[in-house]
Amino acid sequence: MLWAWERAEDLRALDQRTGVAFLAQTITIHAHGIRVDPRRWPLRITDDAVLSAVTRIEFPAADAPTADAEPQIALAIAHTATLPNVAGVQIDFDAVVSQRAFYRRVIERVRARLDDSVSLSITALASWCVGDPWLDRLPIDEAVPMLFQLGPLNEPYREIALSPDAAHATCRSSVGTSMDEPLRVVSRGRRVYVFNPKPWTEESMSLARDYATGLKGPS
Amino acid sequence: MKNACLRLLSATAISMLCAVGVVWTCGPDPAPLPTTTTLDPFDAAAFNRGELGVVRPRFRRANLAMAYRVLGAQPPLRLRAEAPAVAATFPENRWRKLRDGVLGPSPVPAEGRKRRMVDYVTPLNCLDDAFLTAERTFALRERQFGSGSAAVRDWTRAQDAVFANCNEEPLLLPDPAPAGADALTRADRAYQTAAAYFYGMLYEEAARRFRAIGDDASSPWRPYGRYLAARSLIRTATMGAAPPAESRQALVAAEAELRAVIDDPIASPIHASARGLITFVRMRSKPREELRALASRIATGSSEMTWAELGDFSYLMDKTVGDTVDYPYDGIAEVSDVRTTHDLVDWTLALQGSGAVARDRAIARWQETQTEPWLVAALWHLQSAHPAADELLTAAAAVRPTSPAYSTVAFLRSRLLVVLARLDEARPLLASLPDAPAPGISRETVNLFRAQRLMIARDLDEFLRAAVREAGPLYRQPNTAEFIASFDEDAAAVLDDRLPVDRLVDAAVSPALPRRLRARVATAAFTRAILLGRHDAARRVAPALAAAAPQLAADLDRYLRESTNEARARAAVLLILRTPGMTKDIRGLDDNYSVDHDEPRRTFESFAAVWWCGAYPSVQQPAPGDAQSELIHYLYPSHNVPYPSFITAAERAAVDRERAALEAIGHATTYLAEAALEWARARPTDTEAAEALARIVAGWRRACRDVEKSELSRRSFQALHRQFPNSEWAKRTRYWYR
Repeated sequence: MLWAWERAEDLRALDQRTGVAFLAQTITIHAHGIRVDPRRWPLRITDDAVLSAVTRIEFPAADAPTADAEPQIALAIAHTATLPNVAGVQIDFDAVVSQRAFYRRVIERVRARLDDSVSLSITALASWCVGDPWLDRLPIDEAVPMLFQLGPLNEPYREIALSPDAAHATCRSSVGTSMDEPLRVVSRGRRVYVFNPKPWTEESMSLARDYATGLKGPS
Repeated sequence: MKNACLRLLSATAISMLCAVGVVWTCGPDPAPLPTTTTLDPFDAAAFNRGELGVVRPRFRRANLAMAYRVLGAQPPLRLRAEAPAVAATFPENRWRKLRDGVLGPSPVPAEGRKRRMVDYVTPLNCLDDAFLTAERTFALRERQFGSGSAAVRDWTRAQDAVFANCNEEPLLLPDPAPAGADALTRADRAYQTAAAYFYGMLYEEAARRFRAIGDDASSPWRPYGRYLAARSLIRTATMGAAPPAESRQALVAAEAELRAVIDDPIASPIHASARGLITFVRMRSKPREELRALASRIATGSSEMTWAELGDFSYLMDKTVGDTVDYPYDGIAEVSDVRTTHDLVDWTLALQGSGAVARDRAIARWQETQTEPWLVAALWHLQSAHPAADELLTAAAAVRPTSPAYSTVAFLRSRLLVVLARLDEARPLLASLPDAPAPGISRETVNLFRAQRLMIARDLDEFLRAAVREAGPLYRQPNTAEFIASFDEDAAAVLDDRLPVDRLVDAAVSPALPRRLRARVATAAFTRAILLGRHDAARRVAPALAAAAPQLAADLDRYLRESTNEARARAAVLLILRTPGMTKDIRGLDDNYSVDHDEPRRTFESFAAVWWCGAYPSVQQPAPGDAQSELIHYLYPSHNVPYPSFITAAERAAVDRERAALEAIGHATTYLAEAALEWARARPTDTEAAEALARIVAGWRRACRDVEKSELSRRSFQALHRQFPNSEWAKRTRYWYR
């Protein structure tokens, strides 16, 4: 899977085996309500592309959500499943500890709104996937450990790239890496997400495929 | 996803960023505290007063525009904010409450303001102003017709139909005004119907109807008619999939409508908005002309300007080079044409663009103009010997200290002198430059001068004095920027990978470093000495470590009192196990979490590294200095920080030997677990061995570890419970981790 973030992306050259998780909207939670900022830049794909619609949540820790924020957020996220070619939705929210109960409730509401055929994924800080039980019993299909921009303190978590067994059960079906600091990924059947801080090109798409299949990476 | 959050923001976000100088991050990941920033200087307010410091190519283009003006001897722009008033609550929510109060709860979901467009772009269709206008009109009609009146209900129902078009419903038009309705009601309905077409994205019909309203002298909406007709035409060009020629035609027509609005005195309340829209239109219909006009105003026009106008300049430049400050000059489309737009445009592209073509352009323009902006651009491109170097150095030496270009030129002049190995000229120049912040001399400027002094340090003392920088800003309290003593990656690369342990000890005992940095160096020196079995070095550094990190004093005192190396090693292992912050590594930049801890930490903390890591085969290890530091880009083009000149060949050989030995040790967890197990084996009744075993079991899951050696964790757990079953340590240790 390629992550396609908020910039103009032309992925029509992508092969059929590779899906696209594209930023569909950003939801910002304020003390007075939520703000939904939909995608502003075009995403060009082929008619048969398989997509996952990503919702990024920004939630300043100092703000408390309004009472109706949870159903509104869930509605907005579930709505992205109706976009063309979308087979799943993904939530990208780096929830701090105090926001986890809120996040859990939102995920539960989203799941309840989605058709069973639509997969529900979340991105996960690498630390969530090792020795942190808060992902237990979340009604999600996968949590994607993001193994980039970790900094030295998250070095212990890099082993997830080599072995799914190094991660929490929920984090074992996928793994996320980035073009600017790729890991040698041993996929072992996992879905590999690749982020690119720059617009995708045919060359970088090809390289991402090599990273995902373990053909290339740092030696 | 932090990468996405760190992208360069443009256009409307610029004014806010420039105004407050925020450290950007997302989520709980630590954010590095820089000593030299990208995009915006530490002190944006001082910069905007004309105190430029060292002007850098990776500044945001709005900052470069300001710098160009000031370098060109113009007074700085006096930038005014035009921030829109932020509503206390969301206007859409307030409108919904009003309409629900009249019509009952709406079956339409709250989030319904966007229209899906082609290619997954879903811009907001109904903006806040629409709901504010509805709210104001509702209040007016209540006063005119009475609260709860049929007329108000009728108007509200019609307005509800208008906003139904905000989302993806088929076009829904308000019912016609009732037969015999008064003129105001009919005028309201005509306006609402036009608005319904507008939000229904049928812009041609909307424009026709708004134009008719503009021609209706009896309508209270007349002043807005042509303005909204123009907005309809703009949306034709910007929101649909209209062919380029049709879009251009629509924009030209929109500009004509807006000029008519400005000529209409009755529409005076919206003249300012109309002017703003004219700029918006021209930026799209005649971008080169608008860029020339803006550049000219910035360069030599009146100093009065709004942030939005400066943002417009950035927007148009972004259209040329993309939303980035790193781009190859020869990759700019039609560059030879674009650069003729204005000298400011030419200068910005030549300064920021990389490659030989940009360098040659900058040098050529300096030779033509002999101006300070172009001297700065040319000097930035010289990082090796060049035929123009002497000429540029001579010109640089002639720049007076009172010039706004002085700090930049002095920095670049000394950089070139160092590159050319003319250290006898570089040293006195650097010695003459400020070594502390002062009015007109920013922290970043001092940091950059110190980084250059570090490059030519003749001994360890000079090196250490140059290694100390100020990093930040850190916002612990709103509106309060705090700066801390820090290393940058250049100093860290040397301390971490270029000094043998004896030199590290020398650094740790030196008074040149402030306490927190001395603690960092002493921690690494002590840890390395223990790992290398160099108790002579460890004993030499222990007092300095105890002084800089009093939390370790008791354990270090115990270490120093032991009389054999075996006992010392056990004491040191226990000290390290009790101190998750003990590490052999020396970090460069701090982050917003690390600054709040006294190093080395004695407890496990979220967002803080535990002990040290060996090399992972899966990970591309960064080269020394190849990190997040901005100054590395400017001073070490290969990202390789070399050995200091005062390190001898014998010392380099010692560094190689020590590096190999430390790499062989691997992760801290492996080393400490093996040490604890050996301790328990050799001294089976020693209760401190129980503590060592318990601590490695507790720390195993929090630190770097080799999954293939997880039996060490299990064995430590088993040894603890087998040998010390009744100890407090065994009772506390209920699980082991892989």
